[in-house]
Amino acid sequence: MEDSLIQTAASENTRQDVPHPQTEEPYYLPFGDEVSIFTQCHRRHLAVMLKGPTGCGKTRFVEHMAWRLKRLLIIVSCHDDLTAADLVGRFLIRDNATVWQDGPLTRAVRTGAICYLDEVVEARQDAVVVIHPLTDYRRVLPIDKTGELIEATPGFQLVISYNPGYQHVTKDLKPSTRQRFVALDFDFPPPEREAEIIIHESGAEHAMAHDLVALAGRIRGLADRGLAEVPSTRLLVATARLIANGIAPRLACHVALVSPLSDDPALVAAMRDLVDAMLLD
Amino acid sequence: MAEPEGLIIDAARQATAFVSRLWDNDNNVPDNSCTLSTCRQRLEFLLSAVHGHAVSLRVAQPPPPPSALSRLFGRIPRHLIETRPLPANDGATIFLPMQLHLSEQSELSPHYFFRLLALQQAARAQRRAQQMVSADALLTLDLFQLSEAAAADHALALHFAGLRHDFAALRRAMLSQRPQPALLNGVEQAVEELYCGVLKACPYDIPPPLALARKPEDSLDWAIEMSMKISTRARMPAVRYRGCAKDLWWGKMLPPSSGNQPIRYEEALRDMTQPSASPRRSANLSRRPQARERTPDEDDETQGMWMVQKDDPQQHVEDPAGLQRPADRDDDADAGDLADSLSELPEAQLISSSKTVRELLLADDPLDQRTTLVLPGKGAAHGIAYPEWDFRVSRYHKEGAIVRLQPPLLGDVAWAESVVARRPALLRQVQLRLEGLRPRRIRYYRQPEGEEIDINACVNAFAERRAGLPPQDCLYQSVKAARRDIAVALLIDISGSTDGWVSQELRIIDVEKEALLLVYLALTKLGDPFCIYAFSGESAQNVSLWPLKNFEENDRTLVQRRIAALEPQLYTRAGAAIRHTTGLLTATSARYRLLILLSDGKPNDVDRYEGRYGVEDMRQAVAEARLQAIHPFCITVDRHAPHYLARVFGARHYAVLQQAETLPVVLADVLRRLIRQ
Repeated sequence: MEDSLIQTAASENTRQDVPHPQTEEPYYLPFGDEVSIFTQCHRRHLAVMLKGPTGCGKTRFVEHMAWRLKRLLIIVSCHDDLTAADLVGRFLIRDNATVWQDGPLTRAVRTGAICYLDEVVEARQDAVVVIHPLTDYRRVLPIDKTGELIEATPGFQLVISYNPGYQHVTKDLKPSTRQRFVALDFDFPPPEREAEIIIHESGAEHAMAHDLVALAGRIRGLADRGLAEVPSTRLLVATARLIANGIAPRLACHVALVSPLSDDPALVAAMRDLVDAMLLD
Repeated sequence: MAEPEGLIIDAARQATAFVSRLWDNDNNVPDNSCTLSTCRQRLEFLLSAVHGHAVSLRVAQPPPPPSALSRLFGRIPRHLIETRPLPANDGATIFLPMQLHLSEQSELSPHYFFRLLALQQAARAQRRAQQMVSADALLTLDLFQLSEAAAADHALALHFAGLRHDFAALRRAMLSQRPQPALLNGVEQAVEELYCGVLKACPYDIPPPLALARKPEDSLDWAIEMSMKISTRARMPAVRYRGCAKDLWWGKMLPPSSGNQPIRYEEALRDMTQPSASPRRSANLSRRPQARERTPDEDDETQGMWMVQKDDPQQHVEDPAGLQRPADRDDDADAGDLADSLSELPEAQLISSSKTVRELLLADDPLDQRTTLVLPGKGAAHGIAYPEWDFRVSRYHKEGAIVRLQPPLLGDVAWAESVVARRPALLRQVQLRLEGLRPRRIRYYRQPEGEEIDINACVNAFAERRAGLPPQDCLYQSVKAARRDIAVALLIDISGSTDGWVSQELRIIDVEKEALLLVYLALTKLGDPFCIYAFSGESAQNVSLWPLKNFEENDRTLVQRRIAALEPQLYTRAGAAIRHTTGLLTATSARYRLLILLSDGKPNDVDRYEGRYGVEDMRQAVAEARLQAIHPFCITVDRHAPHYLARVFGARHYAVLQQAETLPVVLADVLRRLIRQ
């Protein structure tokens, strides 16, 4: 009977969403052994957890590794409404038939892609639990709706990111989940490397990039004094891009570096003072 | 025709106004819009960012006025008499004047001058902290300071290119105020030339004969060599170097602070809970005398043979025992007169007393000494022993500390009403912040029963049924109040240091009480279980805890009266208090548990619980709480807290209040951030 036909993800159109590996190498400047560790984890089928502050290069690292390992990359940005069905898939009614639609995780498991769950603590608990059988020796994804037990294709790897800075009573990764991952700690790069990244990404001049890094280093010292978020490398790249395109350095820092960080008048004023003291227009 | 008396009065009024105008012009009435108090917090942030650690910024005190005798017979030339406070540092703390007396033609606004002076003093303090050297002779000392200041400016100009204009403006302003050369002798003229040479030069350059001093020792070597040269060149060994006129750029180099000196303690003469009969008088101190140490023989018990008293002793503002001040004898005495007398003293001894405050003299730069008071009726309650962590041997002391639950005192209910009446805006702010936390009505999908059909669930169920799966029965949606399942414990430090004054009207304890009351009123509306405990104590045997509100308590008037009765007590043995509150929280059935500590400084006690021992025990107590799935958080008014609080509570698990008055709002903000859904 046509009504009860279950069409699985073998159909062509379900695979169209999977991004193909980028032809150009995504720029990433390693800070330690993270590339070799990730490569070994990929080879040994170990899941990886990337820990670090926002804007320090976690997503870029995964893109770079997907390119290096020649794997497809599926990125899921987790939010507090993300359910297990959003990851695994659901039945849809289409053309007078019931069709099973794979979710991004199932697609990655079937195709042997790298599945990157960004900010995984934001997802609902049932969604987080779904990944458990994929992260141990079983490497399977049970789909109770279809009764399938999908064995992960050898190239499949699960990567999650986690920002320990966002402290919240009701949001934390359970110890049983944490223990399934190899954790790579990320932080802002040392000044020389950060300047190199800024120059590459924004086209800013060497001296300006170093000035921005020195400025960011000083503002990061205010983290304990009430600044909720410190300036990230991403924020510095955005500022350097403005400067490289002709915006006056002080103005660019005020709008792209200082104002996004805080609403506290005294903190903003102190950061502006610092910008004015360190940079010349 | 006007009466002669009227004419005389009018003429006198005009003359007074004329003299007053002249006086004002002479004193260059400063721009009052930018004082240190308006930009202090901003400058402290800036210094923290520049130096990577908190730098304390305080108000520089004006020099004491010269006494009549020194005016008559003193040999200090007029141009060397200091009349205004100068920027200074003691190697750790920065002192800046409350107001800058700049001429109207000044190129920069006062804020930029404040910024530059703060950076200059902080850079000089940093050099001093690396290597403390000092010189004996006045000439060598001045040359040493000049060389150090030039080196600090050089380093600043190198790292902060944007300060170039500010440097130039400050140096030009200082150059225009130098004394006439005719007032100076040969040696002084040589020093003046060197100083003016520095002021005329660009801050990047060190004008010869000065040389760039890499460290303070180099400056000292140069100063000794230069002072010998100048003395030789002057060829007049009889000419005495009297000093160099100091200005904002030159500043002052204060001796390093010796930390908190012990304060003499005077026993309570009457019960502190008794309200004062006479109203409290207050006045502003124009300058605060330096705290001095007690000399060994200044208040001997036995009188010497020359102590024959012929008359009544002359009343003096400073009595060694602090008991017989003139103002104590006369209830109607003007506090302003007392403030004036006290301001004229170069230094005074500190004495701690448990007597009720009779007059309050407010200085721009209050002392940071801790006061201690006697606890009424201690040790009556039954004790609960908690272990205490000893970091030196990395193990617990079993007997540790004993927590004694004290019956809370009951205060005046009118206090709570008056706070609510006085601070409606603040209450509204707190309520607004916590309003978002009220259990909202949330739409629950896929419910077995409910008011409406869940279309999405139906479509899903339909699709799944067609796919041959068993039918779903959760096809409804329903709107219900969300259950947050959170228990909160507020732990308040009421140690003696909360007796410090933060404004003319309020002590830290008053701010804590008001914040507690306002947050209590707002929290009761949320419906989440919460408890409030206050703690203090003296020694490990007497850690007192006052339950202000238990989890199940709902009597609003009773809780308000308990909060009203809070008064500063003794010490802060935080570890035991945290352990007890952790125990209370674990006994609740809530899924998420939150422990908020309101503190005003490091843990301390009379015994070994001081310094690292206290901090490490507190850290262990917090770690124990975390192991029991409790989220600890600390709010503190101690601006030097980041050094130890990050270690105790972990990064982002504490908040430092920049202004104590903002406590209610910050407390509400912290609660909102931690328990929002």
